[in-house]
Amino acid sequence: MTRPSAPAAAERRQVAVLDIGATAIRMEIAEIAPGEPPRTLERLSQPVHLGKDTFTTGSIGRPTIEEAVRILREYRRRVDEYGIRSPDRIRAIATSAVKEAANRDAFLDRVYVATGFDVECAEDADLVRLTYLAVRHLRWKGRQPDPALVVEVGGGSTEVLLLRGGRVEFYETYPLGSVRLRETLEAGRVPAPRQRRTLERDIRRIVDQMVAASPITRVGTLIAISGDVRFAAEQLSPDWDSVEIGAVTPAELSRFADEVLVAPQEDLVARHGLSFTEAETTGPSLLAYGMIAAAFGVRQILVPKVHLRTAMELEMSIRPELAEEFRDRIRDAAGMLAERYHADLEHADHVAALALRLFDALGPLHGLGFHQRFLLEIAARLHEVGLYVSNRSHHKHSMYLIQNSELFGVRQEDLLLIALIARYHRKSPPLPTHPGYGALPRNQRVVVQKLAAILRVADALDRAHRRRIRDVEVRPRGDRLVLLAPGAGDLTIERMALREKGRMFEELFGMAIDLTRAPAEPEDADHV
Amino acid sequence: MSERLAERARRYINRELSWLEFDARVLAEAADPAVPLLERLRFLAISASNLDEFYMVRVGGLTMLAAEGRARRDIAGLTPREQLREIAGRVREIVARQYALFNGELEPALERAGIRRVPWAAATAEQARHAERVWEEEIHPQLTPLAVEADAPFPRLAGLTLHLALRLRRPADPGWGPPDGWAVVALPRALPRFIALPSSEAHAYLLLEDMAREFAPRLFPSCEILDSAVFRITRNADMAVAEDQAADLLANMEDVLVARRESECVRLEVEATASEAALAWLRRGLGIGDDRVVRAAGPLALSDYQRLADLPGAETLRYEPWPPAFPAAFRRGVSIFEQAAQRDLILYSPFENYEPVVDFIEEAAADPDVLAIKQILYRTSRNSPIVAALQRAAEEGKQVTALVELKARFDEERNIEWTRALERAGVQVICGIRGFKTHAKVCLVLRREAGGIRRYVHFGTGNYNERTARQYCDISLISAGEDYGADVSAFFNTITGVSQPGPFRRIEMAPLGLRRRLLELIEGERRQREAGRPARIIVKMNSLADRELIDALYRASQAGVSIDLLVRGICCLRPGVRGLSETIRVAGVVDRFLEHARIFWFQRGGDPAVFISSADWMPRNLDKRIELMVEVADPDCRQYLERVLDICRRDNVKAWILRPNGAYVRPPLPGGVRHHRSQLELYEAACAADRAARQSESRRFDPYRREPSGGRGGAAQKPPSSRKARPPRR
Repeated sequence: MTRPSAPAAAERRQVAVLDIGATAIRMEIAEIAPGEPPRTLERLSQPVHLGKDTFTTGSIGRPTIEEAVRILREYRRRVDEYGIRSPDRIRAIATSAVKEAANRDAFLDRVYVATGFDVECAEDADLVRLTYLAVRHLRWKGRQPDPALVVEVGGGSTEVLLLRGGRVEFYETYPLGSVRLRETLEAGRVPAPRQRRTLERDIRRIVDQMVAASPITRVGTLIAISGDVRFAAEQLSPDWDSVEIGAVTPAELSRFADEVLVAPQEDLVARHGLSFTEAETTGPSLLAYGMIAAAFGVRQILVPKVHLRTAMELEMSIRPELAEEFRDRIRDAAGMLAERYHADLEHADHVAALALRLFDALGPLHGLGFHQRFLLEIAARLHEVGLYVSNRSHHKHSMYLIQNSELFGVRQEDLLLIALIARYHRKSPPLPTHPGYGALPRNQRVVVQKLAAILRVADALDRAHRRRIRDVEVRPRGDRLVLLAPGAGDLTIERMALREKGRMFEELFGMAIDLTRAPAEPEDADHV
Repeated sequence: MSERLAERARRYINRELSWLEFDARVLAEAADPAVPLLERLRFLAISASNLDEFYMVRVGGLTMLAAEGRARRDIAGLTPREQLREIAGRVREIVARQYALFNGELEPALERAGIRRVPWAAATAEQARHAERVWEEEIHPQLTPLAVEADAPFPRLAGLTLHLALRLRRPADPGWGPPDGWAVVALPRALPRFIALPSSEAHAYLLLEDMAREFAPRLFPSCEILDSAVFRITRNADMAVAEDQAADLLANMEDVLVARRESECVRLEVEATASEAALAWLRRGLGIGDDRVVRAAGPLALSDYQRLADLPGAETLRYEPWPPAFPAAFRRGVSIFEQAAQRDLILYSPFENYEPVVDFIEEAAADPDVLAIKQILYRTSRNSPIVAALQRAAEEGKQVTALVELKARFDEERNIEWTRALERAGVQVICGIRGFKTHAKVCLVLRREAGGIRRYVHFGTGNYNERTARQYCDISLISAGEDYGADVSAFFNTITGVSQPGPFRRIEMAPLGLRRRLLELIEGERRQREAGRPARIIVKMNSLADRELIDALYRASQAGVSIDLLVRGICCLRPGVRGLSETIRVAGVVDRFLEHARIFWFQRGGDPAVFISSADWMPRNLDKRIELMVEVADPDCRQYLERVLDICRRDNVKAWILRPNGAYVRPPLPGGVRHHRSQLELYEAACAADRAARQSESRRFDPYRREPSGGRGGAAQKPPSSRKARPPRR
């Protein structure tokens, strides 16, 4: 008799996610399996003064470092208890308080040596992506609100995403944070009666930027993500325990913010069980939410019970369809960028398609993976944005435009690769003296070379920007690469283009390129 | 003012006096001719040892308060001085009763049974020779006589130790010291109190102090002994003990230190035959007033008679043995993990065998799939198999955390010893939580299974001590429920300070939410009643002394809620007072086992909730200790507890009823009324259930079953390693 076996038992893994924030170090240990929501096993949180240190003195003080190390050592023990050993099952990120500290490397090294946690500093792209992921994961009772403004006011920074029609239409990270606000008050020794005005002024400045940058300025729903606002929702909604997503009105939130701002901190600690740090920062944070809501004419504020850690767990358990959806959001973002710079979108898409065709067919040759394929795709879509600046050296303009854009969810190192691939779609091949390229590690340089070489070939195939070659069949034949373009007309222009742009490919892969309309020799002559 | 005081006295019973009533109930067992003789002797000894501890801790604390001149009144409106006065009066009665029983009933009965105390004068020549040999070989070398010079400070004497005071006349011209003076000989507690003598009877013994008095001249070879008196002092308890046991009495430390000196000796017991001169000398030396002197009409330190009660070979004079039944909820020879994965498991020791709890931890230690074990240890036994199992688990590389409470009464040194051993084995030992004594009894096991990590928990109402589990009535619950697992993880994180306290699902902890939850539950019944629905509370505990909870119970009673309180020890609530507590009944059982389980049952308008807990309803438990209360959600386990409460509530043999005036009575049973002795019925029920389970087990085929979904979360699975069934331990 066989026992019923647990579904996907082998894929069930325990993971630990840590979030080193401005006011607390938090950790969750969760069990993840594809297609299932993470099952939280442990949830730890201890207050720290990282934000206080960084946002006032610019660096993290010795006692705070040691306190953080002490906490992380305790957490490490918990991680060990669950038998979580392999580094790919632990993800630790630090947000602005660590990232902006002058001694962040010293801090990260100390933590690594003392606890073995390899903490990475979250980039804006990570936070935006994780925020999106957290919201994407929600199960809505009815229709998902659309459009919706997703806002996470943290200790040091605020992420804003505008979701419309299933797309991320706008996203940005702002240096607005509850600890930062509180520390400005304290550094400036603002007397109590004027504190409220000062806070409002500081918040207003940034909210104005948000409104100015957002494509729409009226949004009915704000989805608020942060411990402070969850706390507020818990106090304000009697049914908080039974719902997955709480709801409050902007008016309720503002009234509550007013109460919290004037309440003595001891009171908040005693009555609500907040830590002292939380008691200090909850007021400014709620005030910021209230003002953002007011600025966008928000009618309802939804407070889901998710946070950064949930998103990190989800990312570790990521389902294929979710990953693809992610790439769609990045494609959207690339499309918007290309549009902003009036690029020839049809050409860009077509080059991307041809490049991917080549990439896929040449797998054994280049040995690159799925991630690099995606970099190639995005680079192809963006390779000509530099034309917006000038015809001359447009590849260089492409590079810096891409490099200086926020591409939704794309990390800086990937953004640089995309920018470089786009830059090398024409003219000089990569040289160690080139800025950006020169500083890359060797393996990354090779990636750029290979992808740029493929991009050049694809670009040459649509030399006329008329999609005359709709598709190619790719046939490696010994030291020759035969590209078949059945049904295409005269290929002279493309062949000429290939002569120039194919050289990098030929040198790199040691193959000459033949572009023909039909097979030059019978299939059975294939002797390879 | 005095009206308010009168009101307080009307509402509450002083906790010290209530405690003394408990001791009187214990003593009453010693007077019960239906109880076997050596068990009666044991009850007498327990009542004496209880009194010793009461003096050390409670009287010690009160004496200090009184010495500080504080007039802080207790729950019933009494000042420390007033309490001391009342205590002294009641203690005199109890002590008189103890000796009346000892001299008038127990000792004669013992003699009839062949257990005879031999006065020196009555010793045969053979017995005297034997005694002399024992004296020379075993006793004498361990004695250190101490001459006390008239102007020297009185020596510091050990508490609760027998001493012999001797007045000596020295030879005419010794060349030193005054011609006569006093000396003190301590008879250390390590010495045997009962020295067996050769005899044709079952057992003849000589008391240590009688022997010492007889051979005292050999301690002072050149002196003449003019007078002698056996005495014993009781010291105010050590700070560490007092901090926990009498925290409510202690003020700030400085006052304490001053007051401490004055209250150092809280009681002087002397044999009734001591001369006035000896007594005067002792009182002067110890600096204590007549009110703290107890004159004993028989042997001092009756608590030692527990050892005589254990006399080998006298089985007919003791309770018939009740070998624990195998708990019906468990199955023999099947892994506890496998069983717990299927359903929650409950047992009530010592009616049922505690062994499965030990098995659970031993199995966890040996199981390769177990990742981590976390456990609170408090007053565990010497050579505890549980400690040994934790040690093995750590040596095998499991993550083991033991929270060891070192403030457990009087046994610090023993604790420290095995704590070190645990640490050497790699166990992370946490020695208590600052400011709180950890009293919760819980164990958490993390196990990796096919369906993911599964958490197994054990909750108990008694300590992890398989020896006391044979004497103390306690509930144990073992579960793999997801809610419990998450709660206990969070609980450990909270008490070890790695996380801020979060809301729990099925448990409450003191000092955080436990008090509030209890108040809500009581209030809930009141509201039910006020809405015209039936409302009922049945709670079983050891002590009820918390004013806030008592007041809540009063309010509920005034609304008409029916309330049964099964309180073994202290109860400051006055039941059955018109307009205050008419619907409240208080009953407490004193029988062969110590009632110890805390079970709380609330009707909740027909959706009853039942809890087990480590906490009594006392301020110290709810505010100064880390305690747990666990909702027992499993319907079978809940029914099990309801049956236990039912049987306890029906007791009309060993139960004492608290009257409104604070007195406890055992109303005589009219003829024809069925006798219910709850401990016997619980034992019989356990045996019957065991038999029934064994029968059905022998006929049962055992298909592998999937657990219904949604029950415990996670994919319900039998743990893979459960295939290798363990051999039964029994």
